[in-house]
Order: sequence, then C-alpha cells, then structure tokens
Amino acid sequence: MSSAVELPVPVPAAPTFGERAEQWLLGLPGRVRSLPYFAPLAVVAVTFVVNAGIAVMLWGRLGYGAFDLTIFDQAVRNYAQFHLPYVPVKGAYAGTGVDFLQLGDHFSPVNALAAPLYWIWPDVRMLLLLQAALYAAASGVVWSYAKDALGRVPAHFVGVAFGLSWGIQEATLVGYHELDWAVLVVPLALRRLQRGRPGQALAVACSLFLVKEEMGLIVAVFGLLLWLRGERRLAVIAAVAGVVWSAIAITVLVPRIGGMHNQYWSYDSLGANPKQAALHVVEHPLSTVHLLVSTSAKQDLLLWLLVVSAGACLLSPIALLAVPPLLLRMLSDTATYSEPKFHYNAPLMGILLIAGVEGVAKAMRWLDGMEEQSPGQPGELARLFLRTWLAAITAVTVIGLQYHAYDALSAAASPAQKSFRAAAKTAVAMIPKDATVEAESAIAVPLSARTRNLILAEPGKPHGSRWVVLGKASPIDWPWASGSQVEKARRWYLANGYVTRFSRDGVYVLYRTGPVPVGIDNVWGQRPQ
Amino acid sequence: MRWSASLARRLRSGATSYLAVAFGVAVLLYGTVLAGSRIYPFGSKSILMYDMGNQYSVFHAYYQQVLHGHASLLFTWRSDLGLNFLPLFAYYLASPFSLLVAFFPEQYIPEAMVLIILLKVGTGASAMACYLHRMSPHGSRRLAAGFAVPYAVSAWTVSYSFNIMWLDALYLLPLLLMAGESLLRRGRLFPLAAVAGAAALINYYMFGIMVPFLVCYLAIRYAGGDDVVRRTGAGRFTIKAGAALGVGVAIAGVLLLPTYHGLANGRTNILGQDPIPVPLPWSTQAARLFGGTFDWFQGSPNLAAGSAVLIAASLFPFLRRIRRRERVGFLALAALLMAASQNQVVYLLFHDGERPNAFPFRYGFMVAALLVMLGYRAVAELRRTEAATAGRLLFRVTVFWLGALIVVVHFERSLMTPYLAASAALGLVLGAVGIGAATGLRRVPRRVAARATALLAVILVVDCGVAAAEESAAMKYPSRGTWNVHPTADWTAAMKSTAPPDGQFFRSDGLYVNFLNGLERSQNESLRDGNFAQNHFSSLSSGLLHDAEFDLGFTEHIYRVWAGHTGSTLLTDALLDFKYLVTTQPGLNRADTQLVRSWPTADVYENTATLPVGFLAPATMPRELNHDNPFTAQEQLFDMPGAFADPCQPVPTVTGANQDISPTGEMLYTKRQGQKKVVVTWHCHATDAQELYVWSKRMPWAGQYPGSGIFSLRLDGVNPVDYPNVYDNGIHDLGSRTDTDFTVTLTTALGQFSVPQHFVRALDVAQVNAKVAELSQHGLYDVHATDTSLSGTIDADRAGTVFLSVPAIKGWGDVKVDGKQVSPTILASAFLGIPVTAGHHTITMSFSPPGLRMGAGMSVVGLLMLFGLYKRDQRGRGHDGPRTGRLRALLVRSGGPAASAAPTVPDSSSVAVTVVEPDAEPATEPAGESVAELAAELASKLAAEPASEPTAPDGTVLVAGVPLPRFVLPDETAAPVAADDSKETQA
Repeated sequence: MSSAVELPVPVPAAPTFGERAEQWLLGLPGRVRSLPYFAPLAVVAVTFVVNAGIAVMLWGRLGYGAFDLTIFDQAVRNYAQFHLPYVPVKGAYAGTGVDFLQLGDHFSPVNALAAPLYWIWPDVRMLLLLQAALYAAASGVVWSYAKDALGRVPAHFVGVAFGLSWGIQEATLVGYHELDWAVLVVPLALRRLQRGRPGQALAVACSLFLVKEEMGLIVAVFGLLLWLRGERRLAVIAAVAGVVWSAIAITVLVPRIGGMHNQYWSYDSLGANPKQAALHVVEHPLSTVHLLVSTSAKQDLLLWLLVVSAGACLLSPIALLAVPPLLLRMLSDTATYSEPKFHYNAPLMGILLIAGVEGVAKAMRWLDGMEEQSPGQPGELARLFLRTWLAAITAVTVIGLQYHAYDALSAAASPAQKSFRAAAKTAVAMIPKDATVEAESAIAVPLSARTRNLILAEPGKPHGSRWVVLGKASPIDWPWASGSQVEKARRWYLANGYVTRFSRDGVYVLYRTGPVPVGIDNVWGQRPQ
Repeated sequence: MRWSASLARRLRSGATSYLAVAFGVAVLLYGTVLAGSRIYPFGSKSILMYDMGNQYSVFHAYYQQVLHGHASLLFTWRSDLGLNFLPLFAYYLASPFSLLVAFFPEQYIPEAMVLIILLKVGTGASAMACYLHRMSPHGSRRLAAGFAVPYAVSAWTVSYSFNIMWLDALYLLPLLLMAGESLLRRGRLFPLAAVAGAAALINYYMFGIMVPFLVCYLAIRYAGGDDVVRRTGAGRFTIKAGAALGVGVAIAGVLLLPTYHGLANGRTNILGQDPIPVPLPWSTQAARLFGGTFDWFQGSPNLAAGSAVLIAASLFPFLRRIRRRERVGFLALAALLMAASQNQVVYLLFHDGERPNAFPFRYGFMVAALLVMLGYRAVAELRRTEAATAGRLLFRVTVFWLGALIVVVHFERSLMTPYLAASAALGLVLGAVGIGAATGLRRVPRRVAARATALLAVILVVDCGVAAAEESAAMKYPSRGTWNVHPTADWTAAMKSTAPPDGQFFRSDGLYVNFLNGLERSQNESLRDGNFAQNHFSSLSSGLLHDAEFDLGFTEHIYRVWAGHTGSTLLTDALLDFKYLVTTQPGLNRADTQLVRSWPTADVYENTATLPVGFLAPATMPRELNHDNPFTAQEQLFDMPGAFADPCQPVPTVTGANQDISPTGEMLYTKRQGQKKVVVTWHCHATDAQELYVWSKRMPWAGQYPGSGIFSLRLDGVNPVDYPNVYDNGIHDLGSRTDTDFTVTLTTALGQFSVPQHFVRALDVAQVNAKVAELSQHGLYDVHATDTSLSGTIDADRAGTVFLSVPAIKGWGDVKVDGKQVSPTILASAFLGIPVTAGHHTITMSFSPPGLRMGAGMSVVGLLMLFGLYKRDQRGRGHDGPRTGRLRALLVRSGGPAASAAPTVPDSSSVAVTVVEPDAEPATEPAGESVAELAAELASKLAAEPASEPTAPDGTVLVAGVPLPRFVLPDETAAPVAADDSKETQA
C-alpha cells in the first residue's frame, strides 16, 4: 500500500503593500479609461482647462477690455444683489445715464443665471470661469452628438475640435458674453433632435429667447430642421415664435427698456431702416450678395467658418442655423462684426461642427451605399473619408490655435508694458469701494470688482466722477488710441479741479477735490460720490 | 498623309477634346484671375508690371512695326544711339505667339500681351495634358486635363506672367518630355531634335533652364522606367540624346550666335549681377509649396501648383507598382529642385549658370511640372493599388501635409496668412477626398466613377484657381493709362513728331522724364515712337557705349543697363545730333533752343547747335574718355580746356553743419547736434550767357536705392529737385543765366556727406556755338539713313578721322570710303571713327548682326541633320516595332509577355480597347471610335502576322507560348469595371 504523499501546496505570499500599491497604480489608467464617462469628461476637462487657463493668463496681463466684460459684471453683480441689472459703464457711454439697464442694451435675462456664482465669489473672474464651463459643457454635448453619429473615437476629435476651435478661442480672449449661453443651448437642442425628441428640442431652442433678441431667428431656422424631420406642427410653431419674438424684442422690448431706438442699426449700406433695407435687398440682390463678401475680412471669416468642419457642414441642413446671425453680421457696416475675431463666432462653432458631423455621416452612408457595403461596416473609402476629415478638423484646430490664442498669449510683453500692469494694479487698489470712477478700459475690468459705480474714461469726454484712472494699455487700443490722448485728458482734468494721487509708468489716478466742473456731462447727478 | 488622316480621325472621334478642355479651362481660369485683378477691360489696371512696362511691351510695339514693314529686325536707330536688335528679338520676341501683335493697333498692345499670355498658358495646359495622358495609359483624359491646369496656372505663372517671354516654357517643357519619351520608347531622335531646336529658337534662355531637368528626366526614365523603355545601352542612349539636343542647338544657331555676340557686347555680362539669394529657410520653401502664398519682389521661389496637387504627388514615392528606381529617381529630382533654393551651384544649374538680375528662382515652373507629373501618375497607379493600402497611404500623406501646414503656419506668418492657411487646409482635404473618390470607388457604375474623376479634376482646378487669385491679388498691377498717357496725354504725339522722315538722320529725346522706372516713361519708348534716341534699357545694351555715356556725365543705373538722355549738356547734345528736345514743362530754360511745336501738355524745342552725325574729329579727340570727371571728358573731346568753369565763390556758406575737406579732396559736411537739416549755399555769378550744371560722383546714394528725396537742390531758391538720386546721378542742367548773380542751394537731413569742389559749373554758350560752327564746316552732308545703313559725304581739309556719333558695336563691318572697304576705329571710348584722307569722300556703312551669317549656316546644317534624323527614324519604323508607344505601353504594362514582343498594330493613338487579363483587373484605354471597328482592325492586324505571333487553338495570340491579352468587344451589361470616364471606358 502506498501512501500518498501530500505535497505542500505553495501558499502565495500575500502581496506587500508596496506591491499592491504598484499594481493599483499600474492599473489606474486602465480603470480610469474604462469609466463610463471618462472620454466625454476628458474632452470637457480639456476644454475647460484650456479656456480657463487662457482666461487666467489674459487676466494677469490686463488683456480684457471693459466692453463687454465690465458690462456683464455690473449686470450680474446687480442680479446677485437682487437689483435690476444696471450697467453704468454702458449707460454713461451711450449717453443715457448711469441708470441704464443691461436689458435695454441687449435683451439677455439669461445673465441672471450667473448671479449665484457671485454669492460664492463676487469677482469678474467668476464670469470667466463660467464662460469656460459653458464651453466645456457644450463640448460634452458635441461629443455626445458625434459619438452617436460617427462613433466614440471620432467623437473625441470632434469634441476637442469644438472646445479648442478658433471661434471659442476668440470668445475666450474677449471674456464672458451672453452669447456664451447660445454656445451651449444650440448643441443641446440639436442633441435632443438627434435623440428623436423634437418637442424637447424645440423647448431647449426656445430658451435662446432669453439669450439675445436676434436669437429668435435661429429658433425660426430650427423650425426648418423640424420640418425636414417631418415635425410640421412644431416647425411652424418654431418659425412663427422665433420671428415674432425677435421682432418684439428688437422693436419693442430693447428700445423701451433702454430708451434708445435703432441703437444697433448698422445697415446704412442697405437703407436707413429695416423697411428700406428690405426694399434694397429686393431691388439690388446682386449688390446685396456682394456685400456679403465685399471685404477681405468677410472673405476670411467665411473661409474660416467653412474650414471649422473642413467644408463638411455644407452637406447638412443644420448649417442653415448659422445663416441668420451670419447674415446680420455680414450685411452690417460695422467692420468688427464681420471679422474672424471676437465672440460673435462662438455659437457658430457648435452649429458648424455638428453640421459637419452630420455631413460626414451622410457622406459615409452614401459611399457605403455606392460600394455596396453593409450598414454598420464602413468600407475602405468611407473609413478613409472619416479619418481624413478628422485629421483635417484637428489640423484646422491647431492652426486656429496658433493664429488666435497662441498669438495673443505669446506676444512678448515689453518692460514698459509690465511696468504699466504693475502700476495699474496699484492704482486699482487705491480706489475706495463704491466710489464713482471713470477708468481706462483695461484697468476698468479689475476695478469692476471693487465698485459698481464705474464708467469708461473716454477721450475728450469727462463724466464728473470723483476718481479718474487714466492710462494707455497695450494691446487694448480702445477707446484710447494713443498716449497723447491720455496726456491731453490728464491735463484737462488737472486744470479742472483734479489732483494727482498716483502717477507711475503711464498710469494716473486723479482725484477731484472740489465740485464737478461746470459744463461737463455729470452722469452721476446728485449721487453721493 | 497617314499622320493627317490619323489626326483627322482623332479630331472626329473627340479623342483630343481633352486638350481643348485643358486649354479652355486654363485660359478661362487665368483670364478670370486677371479680370478679378481689374486688368483692362475689366478694370483700369494693366499687365505692364516692372520690365513688362519698361521693356517687353515696347519691344512688342516695335515688333509690330517690324511686322508691318516699318522697322528692321536686325538694327534700329531708335534706341541706344543705334542698337543691334536681333539679340533682343531672340530673347524677347521669338515666340510664335508674338506674331499676334501684328493684328493689334498700337494702343492695344497691352491687351495683345494679355492675349499672348493667356494663349501661352492655355497651350501649356494642353501640352501638359497630352504628356500626362501619354505617360499613363491607366489614367484618364479628363484627369490629365485636371492636372494640367494647375501646372499652367501655377504660382510661377501668376507671379511671373509679366515676364511674357518665359511663358513659352510652359508648353515647351511638356513637348520636350514627350519628345524624350519618343526617344526612350522608340529610339526616335527626330522629335527631340526638332522640339529642342524649336525651344532654343523660341527662347534659348528658358531652353537652357529646362535642359538640366530634361537630362535628369531622361536618365531617370532610362534607368528606372518600366518595360516600355527600350534599353540599348546607356552610352548609346546618352550619345543619341546628346546628338538630338546638339542638332536642336544647331538649328537655333541663327539666333543663338548673334545673341552670344550681343551678350558679349553687353555691360551686364553673361554671368549677371545680382547676388544669389540662397540658402532660404526650409520653412519658407515649404510655405511656397502651398497655393496662394506670395512673396513680394520674389524673395522666395514660386513653387506651388495648388495644395491638392501636393497630396497626389506625395503618393508617388510609395506606390510599389512603379519601379523603385524610377520612384527614387524622381524623388532625387524633386530634392535637386528643392536644393536649388539651398545651394548656389544647384541654383546656377537651373539658371543657365547665370545669376539672374531681379526676379530670381526662374525654375519654379519645373517644380510645378514635376508635382503634376508625379501626381497624375500616382493617382493613375493608385487606382490599381489594393484598396486598403491605397486608403492608408492616402491618409498618411494627407496627415503629413496637414502637419506640414501647421509647422509652416508657425514659422511663416508673413507668407501664410490666416486666409491662405485655411484655404490650403481646405485644398489638402478636398484633394485627398477627391483622390480617394476617384481611385477608391471600385464597385460602382462607371458613370459614377467618371463623375468621381471629374470631381477630382474640378477640385484641382478650383484649388489652383483660388490660389492663383490670391497670388494675383497680392500683385501691384499698374494703371493701364501708363501705356497711352504717360507722362502726359500729349507726350507720345510730341515724341512721334520728332521722328526723322525717311532717309534723314537726327536725334531727339525727352528731357528730365527718363529713369523713372516705368512710373512715367519707359526707357525704350523711342522704339515705339520712332524717334532716333539714346534711351535704352535691356541686359543686351552695349556695355562699351554705356560706360562711355557714364564718362560723359549721363545718368546711369549701377548695372549700366539703363541709358537715357538725362545728364546731357550743350556739348553732348551737339555731339550726338539731338535736334529736338521734348518736355512736359513749358518754358524750357536752356540756351540754343527754340519752341517749334506745342501741345497742351508737351512741347517740342529745337536745338539750334547740333553737329551732323559725322564730322571730321579734332586731331586732339581722345580715343579714350576721361573716366574721373565728365566735364573734363567733354572738354577733352571738344578740345575746349576749361570750358566748364566754376562761376561761384570758392567756399559756400553752410548752416547746420561743420565744413571740412575730406581725404578725397571733397567738401565734407557733418551735421551739428540738434540740427534737423544742413543747408549749403553757393554764391555765384554768370558772365554773359552761360548754361549751368552741377555734377557729383560720390554723393551718397547717387544712382542707388534708396536714392530719392535725400537731397534737395534749388537755383535762386526755386525749382527744387532731388539731386542726385537713383534716377538722376549724371550731370544736372540747372538752366541758363546771363550776366547775373545767382545762388545754388543744397538741403539735406543727412548726418554726413561730401560734395565735390567746383560743384557748380558754367558753360559759355557763345564758346559752344563757335565750336559747333567750326566742326560743322567739315561735317557729313547728304546723309541718308536706312534701317540698317548710313551714308553721307564729307569734304575733309586734312587727313584725319571722321567721328560718327554711332556706337562702335560689332556689326558695322561693312564700312566703305569712296567704295573702298576701310577699318573703322573707336573714338571717345565707344564711337565709330573712320579714317579719311583730305578731300571729298563718300562714306557708306551697313550693319549686319555679328554672328548672323555663321548662325544661319549652323541652322542650315542643323536642319539638314534634322532631316537626316527624320529619314533615319522613318527607316527604323519599318522594322523597329510599333509606330506608336501608347498601345505598346499599355500592353507591356498590362501583361509581361507583351513586354518583349508587342504586336505591330495600327496607330494606337486612336485605338480604344480594353485589355482583359486573367490575373489583373481590367485596364482601359480611351475610346476614339467604334470599338467594334477597332477591335476588328486590331484582330485583322494580329491575324495578318501569323509568322511572328503564333496562335493558340482558341485563336489567342501566343508570344513565346504565352497568350497575349485578349481584346474583347464592349458589353454594356458586363460587370462594372474600374473606370473613370463613361466615354472612355469600354468593357
């Protein structure tokens, strides 16, 4: 009889803490990647970090102008304190008084949604973070849209291409603006539509009514998309509601609240009023079309809008959403509207990229159909098309970054500029809280957090504030075009009862010791100063 | 004639319609670009940029008169005091398209130039399309046209189209390559010799630039080409190619030899003057590969043929269906062309070994040519590459160029504007998509495939059109008014009125409007106006003469290639027989002149003190002019020592500066600190009637850039002029004064400068008139001038030398005195002197361009050799395989067995067949006529040669026991094939 020899079963030694930690760390990337929302969150995070980072850098360089950032700061600050959204900075500039309501500038009650942020930290930088957050959220929505249309990996490219697109970069360089809400709302509405919820989509789109008065026109075109998807009833509602709302907001609400008529009429090339303009368009269609491309800046803009989606947006009717705001800008005589700059293009980025996604998906289906590929298995040509398109939008994004954010941030500051900024910060700290101040545009932005009673110092146009902060910041060249204007203004103030409280490196803080000089437009009236 | 029947058949069948399409699209595209740039009649601009305004347009106007019989092609009195015109013709006007100016009125010469440019561009597109289609039987005609247009309307064309004579290269290059292919494939020498001869005749300069490219091409194709190329030994092939090119050069001898003499006669010399602008940053060169980039004043080469073409061309090195040696060879050629922007030797290699004066990087069109050649072949081969591989390759190439664009944007912001970057990105992507669609759709109806091909062609054309529009928009086209109303509306009429009647000889020219670099007046305008003048500007101007003119005090450009009447004095006007002077300013303040004709904006004055074209020179007249001082030179010339006297106080008054004497003996002025300007005033007195002049040799920036607005000169405080400046650095005529005090004031803001002592000079008018009268006593009379000859009579009171105010350029070999040949000498550094004895003499002389006779002999020999080559090729054709190479190429490329023994078939250029192979996808050859007919014709031919090609039992032709590909009749219901063109594809 043989006895079985039981061999000792080796007992694995318990991993040490260090080994466990090492294994955990090595597996971390995989676990993170396998998180259900990792990819969209990564896209959102990249968008937020990059745009917030740009904003913070620009803030440190006094790179923001009072128009429009200080306007919104004053409006939101008042909302946060449950006041009406008075914006003295705009009222004084427009000549309507410091009790001017922001809703009379543009009908954008959506700004009130930012008020809670000021309960946390009442600082302009909260608006900049909000702006980055809105873009980040929109990039998540765009990612979702692209994922369903093209797949996960392409969605990463599309999401990042949106979040870092040149239009978003430019808007970040300008600062928070009411249009930033449209950047989020439009993709949300399109996403609802993609998910087959036309009613929800329309509801979301209608929230654009609260963003800006002309946004109703986008809602009207949204109706066209609904029509194309067979939602005739909703389509008519959207079209009618959009047009009617915009008409009411532009012709009734804004003028009534602001007390100014035709303040944004900039279509003198077409006529003195909407009626004449419409008549001109009918009578001279060719010259009207020529107006759309009449300057090199307009041609630049159109091309750059086209290349955001590498031209694929033309394959989808979604691109029509961009037409109303674009027409309003291209036909305008105001040059800044039709440049590939500022915040005006931010809402178009999402529209055009989503249109591009739709267009690519459509083209891939067509190619597969031609090549008799079975659905769901894209053929070589369709795959090539998709990959090329992704490479193109990525390249365009990188090129756009170079021309916009990179150029703005990489411009080497001269020692004089650095000294100016340091002096400006000192000057800001000198102004007492809630004092009446008129300040240079770039200095007004950080000053805005200290006082609600802030207006823009303009060349040759003193407003009678107790404090005056003068300087010529670079690269902000508005409204002070040259240092000689600053010097001229300083002499005037000194000759009219102001004394110098601070003077260093081109920054001057002047203080009025006596009454308001006679003969100037004292916008503060009898308010305590 | 078989060829004419073949051509007629091809025209009837529409097989050549793609050439017309390429031509039409290129013309329309570039015409639209020019119209968009507001070129007349679509705006007020003209194509007369730079040298086009200064030289080429005027030369064409003169050529028009030659064609109308009013001037000579060999010689003209109208320019440079007597100019050998044949070298100018050879370089500027020998293109056959230039003949079109004969049909245009003079005032519409600029429009004729535009038409000529468009025709050259269109012909270039046609020629390239023809070449491309011949090179790749797997391609398609419309694709060939699509690729040819970006070549013809490339960045080089747009940027350099005003150099109208270079544009002939656009069609000559593809023709040379086709002729080279004929040599490679069939061993035929005649086409290469004939095309080389034509190219050298049409524009020898561009031919020279193309030769290195052609040689590289032949070497690459011979070493690496597929089995279509006949390899009979590299040495033998080299000798053949060299012989063909040699015969071509010999044919052009009639223009080449006179041109050589003309160049040798020029001051600019054959090696050019400008520095070689290399090396360039790689990023700059890369940027110029993208369409639309434009470099002001050509600081970098114009290389682009659109951005989409880049994608296609970049596929070439990776397509394994093309032999490795050929791929590597063409890659090396591309590298060599790129190296021309990096290395001086390579740069010179592609510029005839010469340093171009202005407008560098003249080889740019060959880069565009290489891009479209490789691009077209790559696309054609990509169709036959496995789908996944092709897709992968296309994607990688696209990503590469997008990455390159990102890099270029980073480093080349000035070249790559945001608009250009966006359009380049779009061009790249659309190009990739187009190539993908044209080559990737393989299981589709041929109608769809044909549309995909057409889409790619459209993308290529639009891409290059957008780029061309951008490049053109960056150019500064001058106003068209410069042609007819410059410097004033009446100027041309006034100048024309001074042209001598037939047979007579006197000169005339404009005053103080020369040397404005085309802003007011062309330096060659007298060629057009008909007056015998001194004005001239070209690299072929007489160096001897221009040096002498400079010594005499005439204004000269630093390269001595511009000459004008500016800088004249009473003495030089008398010497050179300037009878009429034209000015735009009324009230000419000059001695010895009287107003004879007047227009509202131009006046003609007669100079009353002139010498005839020839006179018995004073015995003291120097053979060599004084080089240091023009006043001294003129005094010695006329034997009038001290004639240019200093009428001023020795030391001028000066404010704002310290006055000193420089080491060179000149007055040195150093501006005092805090002073904005320096004012130097000379206080002078004129005794009797005196003509006043100033001259300076060493004042800063005289005759150089920047040279305007630095000094201001006034006489008695009025009439300020910039002197000296870039256009006026000779003697400056201040006008005349009689018995009066006057001041000359010089004002400048320069910190330090020097002015020669005795800056102001006065020439006694009476003394000049007396001298002129004295010399006129023994002047030439009964002067009779023709376009190429001069004759006259002289009564010499002594033995001496007759001075002729005719430049002593080569060509005046036939000089006779009383019917006897004499050897002329040179007087005053550059003028003819004819020895005579005392007595009455008749002098006759006639001009024949040097080298013309020998060159004509060379041409005759060359033509005889060409005829010999033709007969040789004809003999070889009978027993040397198929007459044409395309079908053979098709057969060879489609199946290996045919490579060694392709059947003899009728002219395959009109044959359309599909070769069906057992192991290869169908390849197509475009249709020319009824396929049934052609197949039957082909089958009968094949059947007619049973001895050499045995057949298998099923009727298949066997070559070495292997069946040849079968030719089958079309079957519309057959499975779709890889096709590109519904008209072309036959199944």
